[in-house]
Amino acid sequence: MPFETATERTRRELLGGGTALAAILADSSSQVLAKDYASSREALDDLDRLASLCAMRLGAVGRARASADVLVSRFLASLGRHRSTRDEVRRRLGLPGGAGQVPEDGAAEADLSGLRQALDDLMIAYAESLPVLGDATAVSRLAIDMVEVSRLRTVIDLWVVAEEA
Amino acid sequence: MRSARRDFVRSAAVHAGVSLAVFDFLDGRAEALPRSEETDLAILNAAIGLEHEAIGLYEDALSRDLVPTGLRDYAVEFKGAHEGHRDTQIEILRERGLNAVAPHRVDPIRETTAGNAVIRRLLSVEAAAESAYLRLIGRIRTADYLLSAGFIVVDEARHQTIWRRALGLSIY
Repeated sequence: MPFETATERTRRELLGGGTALAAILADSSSQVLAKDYASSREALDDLDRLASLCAMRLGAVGRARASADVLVSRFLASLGRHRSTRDEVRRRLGLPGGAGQVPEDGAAEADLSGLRQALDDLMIAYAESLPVLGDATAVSRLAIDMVEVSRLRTVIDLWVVAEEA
Repeated sequence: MRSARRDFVRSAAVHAGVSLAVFDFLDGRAEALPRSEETDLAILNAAIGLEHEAIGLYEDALSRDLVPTGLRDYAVEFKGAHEGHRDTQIEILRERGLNAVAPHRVDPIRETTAGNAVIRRLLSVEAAAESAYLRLIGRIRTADYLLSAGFIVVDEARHQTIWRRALGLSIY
């Protein structure tokens, strides 16, 4: 279901002034305008799916770049903690469990910009999940993880910029 | 840095005229706020106060050339981001038929030359803003504001990460 309304578009334009979101909005491949979750279960399922894609891309980057070993292992540990948080939120909201463990060894491209895009998509999905949760504790817990994803995304962005320089 | 964060939140809250309940909550002295339209409005005013404070500090740092040359573009970008956050939240208030708190005069940065001390000050502002939004976000009731707050807080995290890297602090 499309997210945008006239008001929301205006608000996103306001938010887009000089923000990371502006860069994301400028990328037509981003899912930024895609989601208006109908239920907390749909949102959590999507977060699990997008986090798995991030883990696969991280795993691929780790295999292709030995120098990224520490970064990749810390990032994967973060994604694992986030997964546990989402599982706890599911239990709190009385929802069934999500899909299996994060498949970090799945097939994925090892490029950094693809990883940055995957983290963008995950970060945006977190933000778009908040309104549908309907539970203050769940919102607070997922917001903390969303902030951590933003940090991971920024680290990768800095890496991409450094390599391009 | 904790003291600088607290001063930042205190100044913003006082100038925004937020209620004692919201101020205590921001200051970590109260555990809960009711989820209500009234709380949303109080949070909006507190958050706009935070953004005014951040914009004022960035303006001060930029106008007095206190940001090291290689980092100036980031400071300009982040000031723009805070202006976007402010305008978004003012718009949300307007949609509810209310006016936002006016900008207030921000105490100037103590430093007189560009350097790490100024970046640490800007970092403390971003850390305080992120912490305040994370404390408040679970109490927001309306979907439109919750979504906007989500996008705002990820920006604050990005700003913090950039300043931490500039200072040689751990970023992951």
